[in-house]
Amino acid sequence: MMSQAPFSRATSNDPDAALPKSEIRTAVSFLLFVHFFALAIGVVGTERPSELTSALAQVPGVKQYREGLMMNIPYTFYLTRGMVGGELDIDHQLVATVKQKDGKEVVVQVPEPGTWPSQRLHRYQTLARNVAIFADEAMGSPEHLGLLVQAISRGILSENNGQSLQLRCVGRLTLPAMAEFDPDNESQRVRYRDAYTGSAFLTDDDRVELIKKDPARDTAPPPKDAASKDTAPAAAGTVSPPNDN
Amino acid sequence: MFATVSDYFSAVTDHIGKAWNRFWFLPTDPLTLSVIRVLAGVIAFYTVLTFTADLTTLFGPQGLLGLENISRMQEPAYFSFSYFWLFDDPAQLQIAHWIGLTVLGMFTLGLFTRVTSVLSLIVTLAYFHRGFPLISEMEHVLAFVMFYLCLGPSGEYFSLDRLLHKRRSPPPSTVGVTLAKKQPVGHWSATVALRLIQVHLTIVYFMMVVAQLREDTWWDGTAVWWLAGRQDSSMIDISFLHSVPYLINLWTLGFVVFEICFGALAWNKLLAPLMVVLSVFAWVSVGLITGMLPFAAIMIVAGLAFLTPSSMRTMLETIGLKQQSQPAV
Repeated sequence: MMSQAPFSRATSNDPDAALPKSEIRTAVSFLLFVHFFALAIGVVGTERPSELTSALAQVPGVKQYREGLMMNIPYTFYLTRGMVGGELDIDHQLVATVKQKDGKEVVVQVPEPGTWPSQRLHRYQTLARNVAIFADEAMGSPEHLGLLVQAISRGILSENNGQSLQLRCVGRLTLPAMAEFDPDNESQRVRYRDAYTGSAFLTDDDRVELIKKDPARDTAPPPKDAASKDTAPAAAGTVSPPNDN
Repeated sequence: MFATVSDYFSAVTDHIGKAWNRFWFLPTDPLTLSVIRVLAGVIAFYTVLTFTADLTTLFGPQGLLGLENISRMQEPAYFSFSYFWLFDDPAQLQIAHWIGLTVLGMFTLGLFTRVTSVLSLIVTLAYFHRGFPLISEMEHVLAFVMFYLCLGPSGEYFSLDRLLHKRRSPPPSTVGVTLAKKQPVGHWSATVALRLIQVHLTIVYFMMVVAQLREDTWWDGTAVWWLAGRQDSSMIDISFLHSVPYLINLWTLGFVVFEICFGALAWNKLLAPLMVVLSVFAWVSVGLITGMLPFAAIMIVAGLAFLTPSSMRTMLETIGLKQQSQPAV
C-alpha cells in the first residue's frame, strides 16, 4: 500500500507542479517497471515459452509475485474455438454411480442440474472440465488426473457413505453448426460424450484407490432420466435424480 | 555534430520523462477509483458468498478438493498464498469464511478502506489459490483489479470512511473553508491505480483479440453460435437464430471489433464514455450467452477506469447520485 505523499495542487499554468516528489516518482517508477516485467513474463512466457522467458519466469521474487497475484497467465480468453466436441468448448459434468456400504446405489451429479446461482454451476463445470482436460490425450496429465479424480472420488464417497463408485466425466456436445441445426430434431440437443471413465473404492485403511483411470474417447449414450435405484436421502446437495447409463 | 546528437537525445529523454510523469503521477480525483471499489467489492463479495453452500463440500477434510491431493497437484515451488491451506476443519472453514465475507463487506462499504482493501485482496486470493481447479477467466481479472484498488485512495467517495470523516471534522466555517469553493482533491496514487487498471485491461483485450483471431470461428462469424450452443451454461436460448446467420455473424464480428476499438479508443477522453457504454452492451450479451455474467461484470467495471472524474461525476449525477459524487471538504 502506498502512503500518500504531500504534493502541491495543480495550477493551470504548470501541471508538473502537482507531481509528487522526485524520490517518490523514482521509487514508484522502479516498482512499475518490476511489475510490468512480471506481467510481461506471465503474458508471453506461459503459453509458448521460449528458453529466455522460461528462465526469466523463474527469477526469485518475480516468480512468487506473478504466482501470488495470479498474473501467470497469458489472458488468451478466446471464449470458444468452435471445435465440436473439443474439451475446451463443451460443458462437462461428473456423473458418479456410488455403491453404498449397505449395498444400495445412488447416482451423484456434479454439478447438479439446476445448480444456482450460475457462478456455482460454472465453478463445478470448470472442475469437471479440468478432469476432461487432464484426461485428454493431447493436453492431458495422467498424474494430475489421478490426483484430482482421487480427491473428487473421496469427496463423493464420503458424502454418500459409499464403498465404491464409477465415475464418468460427461461432455455435452454443442449444438451442430447453424446450417445443420434442425430445431425439430431433439436428439441434436442431447448429444453427450464421455471424456473420462474410471472406478474407485475405499480401502480398509480409509484410502481411496483408483482401479481404472483410462481416458475414454468413445461416444457414450446420452444420460436419460430414470427411476432412482434407491431413495436414499440426498447428501450435501450433490445427489440428484439419478441418470442411468 | 556530437552536440547536435546529444541535444536530440536529451530532448527525447526529457520529453519521455515528462510524459511518463504526467501519465503516472499527475494527481487525479479518486472518484472513479471509488466507484470501481464499490462495484468490484460487490463482485468479490458475491463470488466469495457463492462458496458458502459448498465450503465443506469443496475444502473440507473429505471434500472434493481435499488438501493432500490438491496440494500435490501444484508444483512444489508454486507460490500459492491461501490461509485455506492451513486447515480443513469445517468449523474453522466457516469461521474463516464469514470473517472473509465481513472484510469484503467492509471494503465494499468503504470502512477502514486502506486496511480492508489489502485484507480483501488476501481473502479473494485465498479462495482462488485454494480452489484453483475451479477458477476461470473472471477470477484472474478480479484479482488484478482488487490488487490495484489497494494502491490508491479508493475510499474517498461512497464510503463509510467519508461519512465518519465528515462527522468528526469541524464545521467548514471554523477552518476557513467555504463550501462554494469545494474542489476535488487529487491523489497521485489514485492515478497510479487507475493507470495500472487501464494498462492491464488493455493487455487483456489485446490478448483476447489475438487469441480469438487465431481461431476460424471468430473470423467466419460463427463464434457466438458455438458459445450459445453450450446449452448447460448458456443463459439464453438463441438457437432460433440459426435461420438468420447474418445476425450471428454480425454479433460475432461486432464483438471482435468492439474489443479492438475498446483497447485503442478508450484511451481517448472523449470516446471513453462511449466505449464504456458499448462495453455494457457487448459484455452483457456475451455474459448471457456464455453464462459468465460475473466475468462480464468485472470486465465492465474494470473498463470504468478509463472514465475521467468529470465524466464519472456527470454519469453519477444523471442517475441521481449528485450529492455523493461531490468532493468532501
